[in-house]
Amino acid sequence: MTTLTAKNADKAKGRETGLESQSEEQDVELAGLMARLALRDRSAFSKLYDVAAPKLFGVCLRMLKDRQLAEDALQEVFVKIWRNAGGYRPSSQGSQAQGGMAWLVAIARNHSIDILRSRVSRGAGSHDPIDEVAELPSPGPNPEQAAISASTGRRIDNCMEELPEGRADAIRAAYVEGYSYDELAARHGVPLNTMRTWLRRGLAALRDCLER
Amino acid sequence: MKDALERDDGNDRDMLAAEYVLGVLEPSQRQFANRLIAQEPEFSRLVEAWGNHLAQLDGEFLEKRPPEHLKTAIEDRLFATTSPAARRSGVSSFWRPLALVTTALLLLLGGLYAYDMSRLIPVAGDRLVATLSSDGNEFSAVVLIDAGSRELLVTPVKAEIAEDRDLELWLIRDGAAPAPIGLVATGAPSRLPISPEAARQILDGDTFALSIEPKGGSPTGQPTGPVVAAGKVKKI
Repeated sequence: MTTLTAKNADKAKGRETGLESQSEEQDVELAGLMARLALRDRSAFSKLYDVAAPKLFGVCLRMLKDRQLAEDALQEVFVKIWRNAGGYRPSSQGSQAQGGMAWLVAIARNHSIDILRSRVSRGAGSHDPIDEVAELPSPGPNPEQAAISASTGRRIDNCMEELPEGRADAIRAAYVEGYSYDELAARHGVPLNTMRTWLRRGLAALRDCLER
Repeated sequence: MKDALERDDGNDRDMLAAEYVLGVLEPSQRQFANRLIAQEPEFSRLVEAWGNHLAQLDGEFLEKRPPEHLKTAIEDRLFATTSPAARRSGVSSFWRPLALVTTALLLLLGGLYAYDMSRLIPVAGDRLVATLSSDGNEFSAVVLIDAGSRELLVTPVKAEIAEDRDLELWLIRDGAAPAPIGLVATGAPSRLPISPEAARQILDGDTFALSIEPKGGSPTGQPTGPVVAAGKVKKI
């Protein structure tokens, strides 16, 4: 691991920031832990929890906007991680590598989205999630977090800036807050179909920019 | 809506994948997309690509420490061996420490016995791990062996090779020729069968290495292609 650190440090010299290699190093650690999880290693699970739980709890809290729901969701998410660790594919032919943390965040987001959508379909979506946002502690990003966010999100941020303003906001809000088309349409005060068209055009433009 | 979705139009599929990852689909469309992921590798690749794109937004999620009791609750749920009924009646909270002590004693006795047999033979429950990396960091992988198990798990972290090549794993010990262990997949963890004798011979300080070989592995029994990653075995 020490050699890896040295290598990452070397690599970072050629870059604008060393933060990306920090997350690479974390991904290597996570990949190792997940390999051990696949062999049913409980101590690896404990370590993985310590490393990943704050981030994943942040995801559940942000999307579900309810502390109890987020706590329940986090439990389910880690049960899924334990059961699916063998399915983690760090990289695959013809596509870029998916980082360990990104894989874990995807599980937490997917689970949160399933909860949000099933709640709406049961008709319990009447309570306005926006009221609850105010109750949550919402610490602004500290400079370090802001730097990390800026570093890891730089490429997509540039592409988002090229989109008409409302579309970038809608994409970001859908991804981060878990809003459905209905909710996005209501928030932007446009018909559902208009929202869908906007968002799809935004996504297509984003894809073209990211793959450029 | 469904007709439009089921039309086999590449761009529609790509948009569906994007909407799926974004999470904006209605439950029925979401289920449809889930079925496609299971059935169509091409769609599942689109979803993966969008997942990678949009994961760049993950920095927006700020870390928040969960309450301490959650970890215990999850571990209880995953690892508790007693029935839920026993847990509710409080039986397990009485017996569990006792069971743990007994297990620990057994392991210790087993360990002492094995230690006595030979200092070189890893005791039951030993686990060896090797983190393989390359100078340029283009390749890395994690190798894990359980002393008791008959397989070795190799998880590639970064391993892209030409399609007409295979990655082969070698065990290298000081003063001995590399021993071939098996071929390793590049995109998914590989479980390589290993005999208990061979597993016992892997020791703290040995080296695992990956080399690029012709399809099917080295024709000579020794590495013929470049060694792209290597790492020492550590007991954990």
